[in-house]
Amino acid sequence: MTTPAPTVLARDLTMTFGRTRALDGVSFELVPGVTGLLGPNGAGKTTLLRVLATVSAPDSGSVHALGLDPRHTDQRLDMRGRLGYMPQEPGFHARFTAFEFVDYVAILKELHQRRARHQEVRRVLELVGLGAVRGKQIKALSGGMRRRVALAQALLGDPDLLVLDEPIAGLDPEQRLRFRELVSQLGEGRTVLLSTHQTEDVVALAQQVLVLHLGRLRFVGTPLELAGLARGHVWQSQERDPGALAAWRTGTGQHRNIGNPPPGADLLEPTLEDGYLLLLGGDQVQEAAA
Amino acid sequence: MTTAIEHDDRSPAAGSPGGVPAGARSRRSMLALAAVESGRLLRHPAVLAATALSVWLLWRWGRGTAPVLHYADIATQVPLAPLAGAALLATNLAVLRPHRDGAVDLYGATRLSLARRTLAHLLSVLPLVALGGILVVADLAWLASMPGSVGTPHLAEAATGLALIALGGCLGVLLGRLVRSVALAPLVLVALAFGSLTLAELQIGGHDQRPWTWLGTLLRAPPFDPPPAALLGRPATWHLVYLLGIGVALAALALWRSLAQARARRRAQVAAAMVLVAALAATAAAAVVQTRPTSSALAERRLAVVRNPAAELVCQRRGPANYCVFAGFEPQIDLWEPTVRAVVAAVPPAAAARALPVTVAHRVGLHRLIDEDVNLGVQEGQGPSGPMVAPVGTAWGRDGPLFELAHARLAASVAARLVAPTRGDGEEPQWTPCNAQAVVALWLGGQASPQAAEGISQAVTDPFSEILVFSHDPVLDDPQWGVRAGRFALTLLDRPRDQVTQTLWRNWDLVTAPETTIERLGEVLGMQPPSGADC
Repeated sequence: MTTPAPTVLARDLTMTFGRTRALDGVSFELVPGVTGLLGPNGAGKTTLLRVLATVSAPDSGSVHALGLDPRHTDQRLDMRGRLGYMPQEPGFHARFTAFEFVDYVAILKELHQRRARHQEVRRVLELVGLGAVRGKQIKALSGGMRRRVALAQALLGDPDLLVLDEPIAGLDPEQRLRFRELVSQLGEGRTVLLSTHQTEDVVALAQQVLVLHLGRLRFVGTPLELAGLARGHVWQSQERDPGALAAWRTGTGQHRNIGNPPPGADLLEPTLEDGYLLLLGGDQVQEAAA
Repeated sequence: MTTAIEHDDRSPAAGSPGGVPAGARSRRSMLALAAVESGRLLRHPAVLAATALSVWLLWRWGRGTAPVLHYADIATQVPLAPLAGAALLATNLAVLRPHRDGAVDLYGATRLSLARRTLAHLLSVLPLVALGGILVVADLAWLASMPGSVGTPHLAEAATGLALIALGGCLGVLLGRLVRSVALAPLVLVALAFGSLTLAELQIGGHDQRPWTWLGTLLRAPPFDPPPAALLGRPATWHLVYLLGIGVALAALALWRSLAQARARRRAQVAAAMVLVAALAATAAAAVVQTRPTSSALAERRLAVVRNPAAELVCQRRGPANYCVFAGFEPQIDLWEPTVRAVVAAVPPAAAARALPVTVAHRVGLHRLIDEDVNLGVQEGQGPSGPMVAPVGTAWGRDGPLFELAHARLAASVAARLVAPTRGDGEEPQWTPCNAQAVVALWLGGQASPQAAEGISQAVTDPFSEILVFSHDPVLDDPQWGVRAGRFALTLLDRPRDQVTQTLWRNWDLVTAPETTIERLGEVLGMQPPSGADC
């Protein structure tokens, strides 16, 4: 099996806000499919997504997406025409109806022919299951519906690259399931970069994972590889192991510990979350030791 | 520190799905955005409220004024000011929408440039300007359809209100591009409204006396009876150029700001800057021209008209009166004629035959446009046109206080000429404003129409008047009346008309004699006159 050609190439991205380094030499490649971007609050996820969406320019480093370099205005425009961006806070115009809002964004995306644009707006609203409420004002929609409106506008023009900033945050389980289903379909044939706090979303959707922490890329690989980082570092015990980096009581009444197990520990099969926690926790341990 | 990336318009090489070049696609998208924004602008609550207010003001203004179209066009400007204010607020809110709602990131990932979006917001004001145009055209058409309508609207005067709306919209867009706060536009609007209204109040005395007031925006028509258009001398065209110049300058500045924010190509920025400079130059030139003093020729012509209006009037005989009006105002005679006929009908035929024909002469307050230090050659209370004139103005509408006062002014003046005719060529009429003669004349005036009677009542009950007048311009040669005589006339007007008519007609020579007192008139009528001094 051959590896598909990368659609996004990021090299040594650096971005600073005052004294804070939001991105610190970040390099990665994305291929078609869903890529999960994990990281705690303040890790730099939104900054990275804004750079990929051409909203911000990095202080240094480069991004090439879909064969285009956004440093050149013509190519940046082309790139914007081929990407869909769902910001963490889309900034809804509450008095617009769902249709009017998506139509407005469609105009900003230069879908200029009225009839074709309206068809496209109806298509994306149907795609996210909002066809029946397209005439409702956004302020009258539930939080989950608003997230779907935000996703709908990102889908305008059937983009090749989708950049979704925490699209599943705040949704109830049923809505999350629908969202996963939709994002999974979208990931077939196009590149989707999805940031989230939720490791289970990454497990469910992503073929590739990026872990960002304090502006640095800590991991690039598959979900299995991320989980594999914790192999031999997860064990269960009756009591919380004081030597563990993290430990919690599970539904079985046993404690699940992550860290360096004591000799003879009852090792468990690691999950992606274990790998993620170990990655971040290990870093914290090293920092403390230093 | 990094900034959000915007972009300028780019070459046709940029993505052009559907075979449409990128430039054309961007232009069409901008027009689509302008259409959406204009729709939202027209539905904005502030615009809806302002439209209702403007319609009401136009109706209110038109209701109380004469249909003199070269004056009514000026009166369309202030009523459109609410729409201009609403345009300022609504466009500002529209420009700031992504900032207000936190959608800057979302907009930043789209293709349409900041400059195109700014242009779309500027273009979105045009339908609102068109709405203002519809209101102005409808108002002037309504006035033109009224009986007695005269004059022709001046295109520049009629377009000035529309320029104000455009100006408000451009200012709203510019403020939105300069400051990301919704608090600024209302503050600017309040400051502009205060400044404009102050200038307008200073201006209504006539632009000749304070030419610099033309640097303001709202320029009300001076509150006197409209004179012929040629004597107005308002620099309307230059004022329109001045306003449009400011509007284009504001638009160019907003565009230049957008291009600069987006770090657009220098060529585009230079083009916007050049438009800005050209607009400022046109504005400055128009400002200089519009504030020039009145030409000496016009000033002399006005003075001549004030000193000897008869020379400018054309006269025609209709029934019991000679009507002398400024050329072009002949259709208004039809408005005045029923009043004159009604007054004449209330006088004994023999007495009327002695007094007729009465001359009804057109009077306007043109002296207000003449510099204060110029000697008009007119004594206060003594008009320049001779004694045998019943003055009539052009403040003639359908109803309302102005109309009633105008009716009363004409009816009472005609009646005064009928009860105090001259006895021979060149002889002054023996008019005594504080005796029975004045009471009889006011009563006769009140017979002309309910509006005339109401106007007399208004003038008599005016608490600020020490003497009874229907026009506050001393040079307009209106007769004056004692307040006591007015109060007595009001009492008389409440009594049955036939009964009073019979008594007055039987004693006509006595009650119209200059020496007959109000007490004597009371005895004749069997009434107690009101107390107080005669004058």
